[in-house]
Amino acid sequence: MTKEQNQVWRFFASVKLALWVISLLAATSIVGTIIPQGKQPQFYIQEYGADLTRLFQVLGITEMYGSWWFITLLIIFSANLIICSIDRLPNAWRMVRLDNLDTTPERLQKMPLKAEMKVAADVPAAAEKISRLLAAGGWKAARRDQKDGVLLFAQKGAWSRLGAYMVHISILTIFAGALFGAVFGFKASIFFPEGETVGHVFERGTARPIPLNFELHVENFEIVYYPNGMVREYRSDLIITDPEMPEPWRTSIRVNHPLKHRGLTFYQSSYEPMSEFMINVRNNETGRERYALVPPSRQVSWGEEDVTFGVMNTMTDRMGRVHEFQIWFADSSEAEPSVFNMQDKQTVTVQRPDNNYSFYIQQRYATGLQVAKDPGVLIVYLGFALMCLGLYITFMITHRRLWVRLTPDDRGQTRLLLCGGSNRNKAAFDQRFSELAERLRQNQAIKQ
Amino acid sequence: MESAQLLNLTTFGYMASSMLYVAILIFGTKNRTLGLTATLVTMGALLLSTMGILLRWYEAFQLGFGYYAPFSNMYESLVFFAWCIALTYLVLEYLYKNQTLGAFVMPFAFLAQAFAEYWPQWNQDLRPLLPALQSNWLIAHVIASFVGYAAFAIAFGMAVMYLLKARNIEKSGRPEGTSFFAALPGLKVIDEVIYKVIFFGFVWFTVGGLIFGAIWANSAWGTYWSWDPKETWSLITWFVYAATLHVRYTRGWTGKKIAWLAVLGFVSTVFTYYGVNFLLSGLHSYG
Repeated sequence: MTKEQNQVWRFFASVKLALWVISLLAATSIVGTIIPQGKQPQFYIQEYGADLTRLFQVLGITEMYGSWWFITLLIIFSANLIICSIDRLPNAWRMVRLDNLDTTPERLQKMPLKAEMKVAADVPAAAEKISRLLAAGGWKAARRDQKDGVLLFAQKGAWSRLGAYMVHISILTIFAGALFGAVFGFKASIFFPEGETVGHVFERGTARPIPLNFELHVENFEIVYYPNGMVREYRSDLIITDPEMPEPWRTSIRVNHPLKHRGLTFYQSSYEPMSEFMINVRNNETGRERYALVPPSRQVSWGEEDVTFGVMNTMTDRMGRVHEFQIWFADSSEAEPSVFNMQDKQTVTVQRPDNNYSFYIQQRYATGLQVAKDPGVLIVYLGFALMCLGLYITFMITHRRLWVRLTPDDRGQTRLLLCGGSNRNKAAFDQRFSELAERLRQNQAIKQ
Repeated sequence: MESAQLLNLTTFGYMASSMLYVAILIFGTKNRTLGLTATLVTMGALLLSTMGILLRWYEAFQLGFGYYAPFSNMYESLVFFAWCIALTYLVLEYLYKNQTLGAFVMPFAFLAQAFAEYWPQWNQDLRPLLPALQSNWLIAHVIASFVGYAAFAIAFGMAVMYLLKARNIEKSGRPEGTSFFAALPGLKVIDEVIYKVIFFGFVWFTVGGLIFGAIWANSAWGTYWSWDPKETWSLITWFVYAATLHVRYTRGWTGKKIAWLAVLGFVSTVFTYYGVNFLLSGLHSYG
């Protein structure tokens, strides 16, 4: 690598760049939480004036999280993560694979934790015994004979050195999943009234129709209430007719309970009361009946029976739900038209001089569904899992190392030097180390 | 007994606990009775709060709400925030065998609880869950996020402790400072604890706040990330603490710099938790 290339590499591998990019991402992200995103131009002109609006548009602030400069920051962030990992991973790997037996007595003397003791045996027997005592505590010791003695080494959690890189890779995995989803997926929505069937949805932003290859029929939209009047549930009851399925599939969608079908996910997202009401009138003597979709304040004539009816007035709550209808009903008789109040989804009997009628009324709703196809979600979730695992390893597991150097003393016994260190949680390891040394001194097996 | 009474009593418990820990600072840690009383009062307050939260849950069940969890609005979340602070504090006190931290931590539990109980804006009525909140992720997401928030609050309290002690040392010229500052743990110890508590909070916040939140958003709103203000501010907070951990680990920052970052992180946390809901508009308007 030339020196220049090397400098570029160093730049992208540096923690300094990471800190700058993280700070910039954090600082600029604030803007988009203060200035509402993705509104119509008129909104910004009204709120901030024409000049600021122009500035917003130039800088892409009205949709800043997708703007060229924010995406550039994210790309630099990714490049930084990738290059920093490539740059440092080999070192971390070397730490994991390090031949810790290849060390010198001087280096051992410089270790942060040390304990010295005597073992009443010659060096080979002492090495044997100490290995056994350590092994009882899960410290499997490797051994190397040196010219003046024996060196034992045991470690735990060496691979925890890789935890931080796992977190970095998990971020890249999440980005990859998001990108994959953005390229191969789409977000769409569909808004249709009860009783209707659709075979396509509309892409968000472009409103381009996307065919579904199956049909979606909304039988019923239901708002279920708690006794205190709060909404308990929004539910669309659907029938899916798919040429690949033997029979139509009745199912429903609720908030938090989306529907998955053929790689698409449907979410209950909105509803709207329709301006027409569904009315059913039945002559209880003749059994003849008639369905009608009736807008408010409009008369409907039923020629066969010579009946005319209509909705004179409605009382709605703030969510547009009608809780009372005022109905007007007349027939061929001389009697005054009947005017009465009734509630939604109720049947009343209308007594007329010659006949009596059953009268049913129901408010109609349109349901709004969000539709997402996101084949990247699984990759994103894999990234989440990696991140949890990486954080757990980084946070919970410490790389702890122990060396035991055994040298003969002048009376045919063995001098033992125990050294150790850990890469974090040093206080806890100090404690553990002195317990360990004490047990070795008393010739006891190490506890797990 | 109703949950409302228990939770109201909890406020006084946290207040007494805060005052006792301040008294420990003033009169010194030698007085064993005072120390024991402070710990017992804190445990008592935590127990009251636990019973209050559980009873509230039970009351919701009795009212026939169906699926419910007592973390569904600002009032309940503040009570739970205070609960997390008190519990985390007691664990720290046990681990570090040091009661001087209490004066810098328990007042936050008291403030959060008092804010919950006495701020006129909150509706304390027990109300059933909106459709968007009826999910098993509610419990996992809220509990893990709030353990994170509580850790960040504690790191902030300790950062304040660090900065005050450091200033006192500079002014007095004594190695451990004067008056009660001398009774506080050494600067190195406080620094170490700030780092550990931030790391602990970071793990919970990442997993509970961001990851569980994203998974839940994907099943409720149809997208795991939509740059909603709450999401964006969580990410900003996450960046602040991620940067803190990196400067600490790779550039060896310690002491005042880390303490100031803990302060900055907590400002961002408070905005994520509270500011977003009242100053900005978005989907995440429950608490």
